[in-house]
Amino acid sequence: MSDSTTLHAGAPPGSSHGELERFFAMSLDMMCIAGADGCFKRVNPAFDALGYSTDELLSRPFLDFVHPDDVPATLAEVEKLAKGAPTIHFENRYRCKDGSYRWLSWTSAPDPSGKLYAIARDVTDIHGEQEARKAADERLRLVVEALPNGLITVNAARTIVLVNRKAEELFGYSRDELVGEPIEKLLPERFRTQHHDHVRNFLAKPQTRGMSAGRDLFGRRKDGTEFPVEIGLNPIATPEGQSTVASIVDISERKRGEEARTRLAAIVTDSDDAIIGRTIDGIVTSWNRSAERIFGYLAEEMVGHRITVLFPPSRRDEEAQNTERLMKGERIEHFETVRKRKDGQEIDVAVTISSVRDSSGKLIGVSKTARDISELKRSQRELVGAKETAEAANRELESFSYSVAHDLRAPLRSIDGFSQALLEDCADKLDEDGRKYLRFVRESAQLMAQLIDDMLTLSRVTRSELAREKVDLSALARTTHARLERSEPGRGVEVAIEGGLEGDGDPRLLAVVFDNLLGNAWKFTSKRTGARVEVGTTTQNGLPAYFVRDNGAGFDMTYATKLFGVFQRLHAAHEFEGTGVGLATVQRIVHRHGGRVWAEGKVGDGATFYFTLGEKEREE
Amino acid sequence: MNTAHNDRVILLVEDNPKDEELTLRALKKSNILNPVVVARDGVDALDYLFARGAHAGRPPSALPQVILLDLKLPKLDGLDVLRTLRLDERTKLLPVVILTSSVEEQDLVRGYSLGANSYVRKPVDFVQFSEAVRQLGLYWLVMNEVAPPGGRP
Repeated sequence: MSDSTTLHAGAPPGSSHGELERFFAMSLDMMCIAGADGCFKRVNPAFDALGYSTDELLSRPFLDFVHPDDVPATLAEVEKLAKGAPTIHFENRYRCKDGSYRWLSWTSAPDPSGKLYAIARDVTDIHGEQEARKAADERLRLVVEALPNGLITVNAARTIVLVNRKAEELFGYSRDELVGEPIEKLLPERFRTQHHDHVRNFLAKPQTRGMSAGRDLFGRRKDGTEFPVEIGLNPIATPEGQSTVASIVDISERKRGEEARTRLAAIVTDSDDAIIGRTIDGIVTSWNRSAERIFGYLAEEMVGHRITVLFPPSRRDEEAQNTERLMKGERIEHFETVRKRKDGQEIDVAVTISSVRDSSGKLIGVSKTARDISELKRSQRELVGAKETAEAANRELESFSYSVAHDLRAPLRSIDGFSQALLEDCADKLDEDGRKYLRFVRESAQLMAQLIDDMLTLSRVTRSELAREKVDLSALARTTHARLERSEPGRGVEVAIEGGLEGDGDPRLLAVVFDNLLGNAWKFTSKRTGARVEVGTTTQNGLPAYFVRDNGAGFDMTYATKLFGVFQRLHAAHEFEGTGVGLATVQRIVHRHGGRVWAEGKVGDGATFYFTLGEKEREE
Repeated sequence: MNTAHNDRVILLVEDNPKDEELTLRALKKSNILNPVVVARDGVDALDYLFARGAHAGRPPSALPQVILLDLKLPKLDGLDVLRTLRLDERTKLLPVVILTSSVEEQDLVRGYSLGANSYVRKPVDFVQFSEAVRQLGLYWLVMNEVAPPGGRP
């Protein structure tokens, strides 16, 4: 009130000046006149809003009321005015008496007198709204920046107008490199053309939706690499026209997880083992294809039902015991048990059980794999049975051989012995034929005895364990040769035995081999002069092949394969005696060593017998 | 030639009468004139040696010069006879020659393990058989010096 009095005092009513004074007093805008000294000279009542008395306002330079931060700008504006530039809507803050600030918007025209005529409007409220809007904008910006999804806004011309930080990170571009660019920059080339159509379709019927629609989408990074994405589209209407906000998620991890899950699921489905999930209470939760095959129940017959239908009565307690052990944290690995199929048949299975726990470690279920080992078990049982049968047969053969050795020879001894007794005691009562027949009886008995011995050797070869060691074959051959020399001294056979022959085999059986081969060579050279027998080694398919060669009667190669059969003889008994068992024995010994035996010969031109001793030598 | 020892008995343990006949013939052909006592089974052989059963009246200190022992015998087989002999103080040093049909390795090993002094296979060829018996007689009845009866060291 006092202010307005002051104003009225300087303006005579009734005059045009006085009318102006009315406006001065009425104005809701602040009006003031300041002097060259920087102090207000006059202020209108609107200045009351600041809370000062007029005297207070006029007593100090107006800059004192200006917010310290706004002083430099205010000074600059005053400077401008002084130079003749008008002030329009210059804003600064004035301090109120209560210490608060009001935003004032100033309009002023320069005056040559050096005085300032200015009008200020209180724009504090407008300012507040702007500040609030700016703050809201800033918050929104921060939210957009902080979004875990990439966010890209594209205008109707497919030009990128906004990019958030996550989008920068996803694609490897800074936003400066993206804003203003076509969105296709972020697509793999193969998708770019069709993308135009997709955008057109979307804009023709814009609605919020996912983008993929059954297709796999990929983004293209600045470095050219691609990554799978999921994109949500939101149409927004802006003053500039229809825009689209695309929200982009990198789904590489999810894809990898899905693939891993798919792979695992395939493994479970295709496994040869039954893989079964169940709750702790024994309710089946999963049942794979092999479970269907092994147990005969379909998944829909089992899932949700009790697993105990698989347990034969004798194994009823097993499941509870297993669960108890799993609860205690024990693992149950590979135990063999019996389960019952849907058709009632019991099968042998090998089962492994593991616990399924939630993230806090609590037991929530059980996973078990079961393998059908019925076949295996059957084979095992058959194998054991076959082995027992073979062993029994072997024992029987052994006692049979033992009896043969003893009991078959005794009568032969009588036949021979008493024939000889007859020849000795009753020679005078027998004529030449009679004596000849008795000699035949004796020869037959002795041949029979030899046959028995050879058969026993052959059977021993089959029965005895093979004890392989490094054997000096040259020494074996020399031993046999010495024995032959003793039995028939003065034969004058030239024998050449290669030194240092070594083989890997059973020394006793190999001695039998040389007895037979050298014995044969000795025998079949008996009808010629200049007999020669050679023992040596050659190479056959990279393996050493030992041979015994003679220049005796030889044989017809037509019959080469018959040589090694039992009782097979290529010579008549009157030419060369023999039982026809020797080479069969040799072959059996060589075969037992994993080797091969064969012969080459020509009638009248000698024979060569070769043998190898199996694969073991290759390592030497 | 063997007059010095022809009073000592040869104990032939043999169940086959024909083999017995042949053995006796071979001994005779070899001029071995010692008395031969024949036991037909293992029990009979032990009874003779220990002067019991059918042989109860025999002076037990008179032991044979050598025993020709077959392996396959009724009642008690040759190896059992041998085992029993070797466990008894009176007979543990008595010369025992196993004279049998077979040379099954298991018999050879067990025979020698139980303390046989020799192991001879009876050849089917009687000429060879006679030669074997001749050499046996020569060795065990003439050449060999027997340990004192009772086996005192």
